[in-house]
Amino acid sequence: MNSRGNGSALQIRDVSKTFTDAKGRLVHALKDVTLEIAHGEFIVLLGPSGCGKTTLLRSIAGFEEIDSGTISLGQMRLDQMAANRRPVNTVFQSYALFPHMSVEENVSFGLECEGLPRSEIKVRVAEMLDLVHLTELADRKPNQMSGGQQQRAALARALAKKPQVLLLDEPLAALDLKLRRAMQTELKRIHRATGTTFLFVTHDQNEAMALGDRIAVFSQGQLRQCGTPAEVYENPADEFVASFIGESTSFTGLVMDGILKFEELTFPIPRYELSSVSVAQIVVRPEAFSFETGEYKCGEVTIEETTYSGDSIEVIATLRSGKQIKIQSPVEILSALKVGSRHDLYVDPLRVRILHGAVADME
Amino acid sequence: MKRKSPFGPSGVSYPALTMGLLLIGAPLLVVSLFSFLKRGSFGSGVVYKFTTDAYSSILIQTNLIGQHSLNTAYLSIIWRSIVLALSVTVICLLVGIPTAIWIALQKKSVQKILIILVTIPFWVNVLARTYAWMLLLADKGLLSQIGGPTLLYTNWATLIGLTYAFLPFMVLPVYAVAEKMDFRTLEAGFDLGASGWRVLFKVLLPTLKYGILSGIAVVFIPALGAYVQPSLLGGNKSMLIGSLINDQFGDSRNWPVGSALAVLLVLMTIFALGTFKFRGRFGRSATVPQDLGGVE
Repeated sequence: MNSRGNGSALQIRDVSKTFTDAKGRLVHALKDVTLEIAHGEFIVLLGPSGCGKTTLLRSIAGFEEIDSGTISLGQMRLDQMAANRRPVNTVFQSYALFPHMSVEENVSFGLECEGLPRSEIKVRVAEMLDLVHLTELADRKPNQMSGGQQQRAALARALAKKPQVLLLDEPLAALDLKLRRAMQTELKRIHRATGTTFLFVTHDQNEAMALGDRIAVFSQGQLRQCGTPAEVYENPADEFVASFIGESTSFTGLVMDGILKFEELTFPIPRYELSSVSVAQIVVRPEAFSFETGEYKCGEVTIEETTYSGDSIEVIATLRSGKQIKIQSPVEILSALKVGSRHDLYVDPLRVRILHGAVADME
Repeated sequence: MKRKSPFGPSGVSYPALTMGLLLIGAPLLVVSLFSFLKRGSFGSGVVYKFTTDAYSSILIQTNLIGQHSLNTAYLSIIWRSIVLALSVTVICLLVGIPTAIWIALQKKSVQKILIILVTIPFWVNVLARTYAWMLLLADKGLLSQIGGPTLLYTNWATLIGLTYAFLPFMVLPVYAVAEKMDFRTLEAGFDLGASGWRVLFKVLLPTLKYGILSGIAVVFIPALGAYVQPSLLGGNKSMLIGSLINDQFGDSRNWPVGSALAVLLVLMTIFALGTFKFRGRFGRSATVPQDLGGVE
């Protein structure tokens, strides 16, 4: 059912939106955002609060008007259409269930708007409640249900309309960690079962990695990078993406003969043929570093802090200038990593990432 | 773990109960009793002798030669009171609900100020406020000076005065519910394909239902028995049930009829409450979430 790469379902082209904030300043909520989403894809819009991801979702839903650009679904222009006519449906962060209606009434609301015959509504509602495992609670009012159950009801209500794209606005944010994990699994199951295109907004990078076929990373109204979770993690487009998705340390320095020098450290830059003298910015994930011999030796660092986290140790080491480096190390060497002691630092050359566009000739 | 009251589980309700019995129950009992008694000689007080004369005199009049006929004087006053109270309630609904919603949509700090503004009229005595309206509506008053009609001593003046007085009683309960409302549900309504009217009647108003019902109750009931505004603004030409009762105890010196009218007013009020299916806040919180555990 999940048919990726089957032409794009939702096309977002050069979409911009500005608004004036409370202090009268002009804020770019969205700046020339272009994004194509395939049929049946599970795409996650990721970014910190205020980055524009929710504005984009609300623009697709029809609750916000865009200043320029187009949003279309196949041949259909969405951005000119009223919200109640767009073939997309939303799962709200607050769930926004109708408090005076039972779960069943909530789910049938959208179908009644379409004027479907009673008998068909009944069948469709039963089908949806079964899909989200809420059949037993059909008569409950929203305030008689837990957060997770309300979440499922909201999902069923939106999916009952058989939307072309399901928009999910931080739907798991209000749930506790354990429930959130369970709901993530549920969402994936429901996505597979329905084959609907899911557009999911979150600020939680772990959630984005766990759910998305692709992740679109936003910052300050701009789309920074869009790719599979592995792509954005392994090959971040810029420092923002690198720091927002997972931990990393960035180094900017002079590159000579495939070696980048940063203070007392050196890094190998194997994949790039750079001009003899240039400046490059690289990012290194904590797990790419190691205190054990064998790989490329960067130099010597001082252990500043170690945090034991069960399966590994998170280490913060410093250079002489005070620059901090995040390192992940196996637990076996915890006893050796005394705070204040000096250690050789090694790096896996294959996991040193040069940021796109960060290479520039020196003045 | 429950903390026990030294007076038993219902001990805390004793003061309220005492107040209720003393200030509401007892007077009601006295009034009901008086309505079944005979008018005293010279019109003052009552004679302790059972009779239903008071009620029959409201409905039936006897002319000088002893013929009985339906007395429409009282009935028309009661009817006029109901129509006026209903009009006041409808206007308060039409003005009060949008006002309450608009306030609830403002920032929290602005909301507080607006609610204070709504309650400011309460700081001034109702008589003073009503006299102010007399000045505005009188012949050569502000309204007629700017070319408007002279409304004082008409039903219109009463309607304006009552609406003005009771509007806050509609705004406040509706606001109390609207303030807690998740306005995203309106977006959800549109999102699911509903028209504006559908969102209004199937989502917005049902969500505000309890506030609106409370508002109707606290506007309609006092408006029905209102005394100050009808007598000051409406004059004697358009008497309402409130002023009528006052007259029976005052000028007319007919306590039993006054009591009977008061009892009728209470019965009408109870009937009105029944019609509105008023359940207040008690009906709503009766259902306690039973299963707040995990989903799995």
